[in-house]
Amino acid sequence: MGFDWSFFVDRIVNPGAPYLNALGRTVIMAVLAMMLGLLIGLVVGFGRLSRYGVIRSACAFYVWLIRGIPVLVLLVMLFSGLAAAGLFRFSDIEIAGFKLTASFQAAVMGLAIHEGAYMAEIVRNGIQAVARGQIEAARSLGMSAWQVTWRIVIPQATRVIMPPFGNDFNHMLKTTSLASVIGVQEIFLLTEGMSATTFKTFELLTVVALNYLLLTAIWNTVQGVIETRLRAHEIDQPVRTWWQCLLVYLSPRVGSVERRA
Amino acid sequence: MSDANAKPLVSAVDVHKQFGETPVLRGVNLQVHAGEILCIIGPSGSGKSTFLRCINQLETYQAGRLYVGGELIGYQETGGRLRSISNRQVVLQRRRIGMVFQQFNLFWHMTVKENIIEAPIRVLGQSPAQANENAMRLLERVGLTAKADAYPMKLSGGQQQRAAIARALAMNPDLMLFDEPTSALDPETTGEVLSVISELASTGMTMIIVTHEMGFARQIADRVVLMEEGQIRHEAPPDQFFGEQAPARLRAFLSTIH
Repeated sequence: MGFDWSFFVDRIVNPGAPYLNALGRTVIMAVLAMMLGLLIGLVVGFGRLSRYGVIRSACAFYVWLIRGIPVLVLLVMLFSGLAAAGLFRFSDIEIAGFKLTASFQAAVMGLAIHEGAYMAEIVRNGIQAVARGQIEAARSLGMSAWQVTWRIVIPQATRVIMPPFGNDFNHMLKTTSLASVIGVQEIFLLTEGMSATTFKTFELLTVVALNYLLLTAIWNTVQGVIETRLRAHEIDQPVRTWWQCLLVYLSPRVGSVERRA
Repeated sequence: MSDANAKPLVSAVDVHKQFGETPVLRGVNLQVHAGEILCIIGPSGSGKSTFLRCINQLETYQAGRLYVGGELIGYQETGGRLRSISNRQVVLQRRRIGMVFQQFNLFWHMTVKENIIEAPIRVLGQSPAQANENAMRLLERVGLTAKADAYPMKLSGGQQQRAAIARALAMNPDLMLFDEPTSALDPETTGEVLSVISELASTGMTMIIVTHEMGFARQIADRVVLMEEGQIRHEAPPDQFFGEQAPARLRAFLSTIH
């Protein structure tokens, strides 16, 4: 019993092509699922505020249903369940030279459907947070409904949506590990395979855990910079460039910025 | 004051509005001529704000007729029946009417200047250079040149309201509506907003002002009306309105305010 330090360090310094590929797959899966999830969330979130009852109900039903199903069940259902019932079978496809395996597609879909339900609530909350009075002011200036949405609601809703969105993406980076169950060669599945042949289970799991931590740490910084940028008008020093946003984000904050309601 | 025979700019004929089962406007009859300054006073819940909001179609009235510049607001009349106009037409009608709100309602994510140039660029299709130049002229008029690049949260209430007035003026409206423009302000900043409105009055802008500032109404208005329970109960030039010969009910209301 002991921790094989040299093996551990070697895995970190020389991860090897298969591991780096798996890492890429993890990141791409998370990004694609999040983008699709955001799209679903925007449609369903706006849908929940529709003036038409049928649309409101349908969107509420989607949120209610999906939030009640574990992601793991959703993934297996999409990949194996639908195929077993003869309803739909994912198959490998190639887009612009990149091969997308059946399990990868199912994983992205499943994660996106799941994320969409949560994003819908985040989007709805963001829209509702925009002060009613500002919308009225914009309308009184003769702006069309589309202009009001695009110029007044969305920019301000984005500020409200960004923190929980970032939180969800942080979550998503790690939830991708569930795709191992349907056979997506991402870092967790690869690690399990290696551990079965080397028996260095603890070292390998530590490496993969650190790897997820690295991903979320990078994302947290990106998120912090974006959030700083979005609340530029609440910060005393001028923050115009992304670089300034990074500096403001990293600088130690003496108490939080005073906010007026 | 304008000639009484001229066509009124705003004309309300028996305007009714209810929220659900609750009647708010119960037959409002009122005319405002071009260049006239009308102050509406009355207890809260009397329908003053709702009436203003109907003029600007932030609310829809359900019966009666409301005309601005001779054009029926919100409806199309065919054979005595009213049909709602399209959203597109609503947007067009609103352009000629500026509105200033109790809560200022500046766009929180834009600087003062961006607030002012937004609609002229997007709605009127002005060039950014033209809109900017106009914005700076308006900011000078309301005494906010130094705050052009500040975000609303960095401004005092009075400054926000002056910026909001400049924003409404940037659309070159024929009519300005003020919905209790100083009610959310402290006494010190109230004065600076009132003086901006007074300055605007001197330019001949037609204005309808809902206010609780009796002294201001008396000084600025060409005519003052009392609104109560969704109807215009009394109207008179300010001297008579606030004078000794005013009806008892009006004096009773005024005494509750002073």
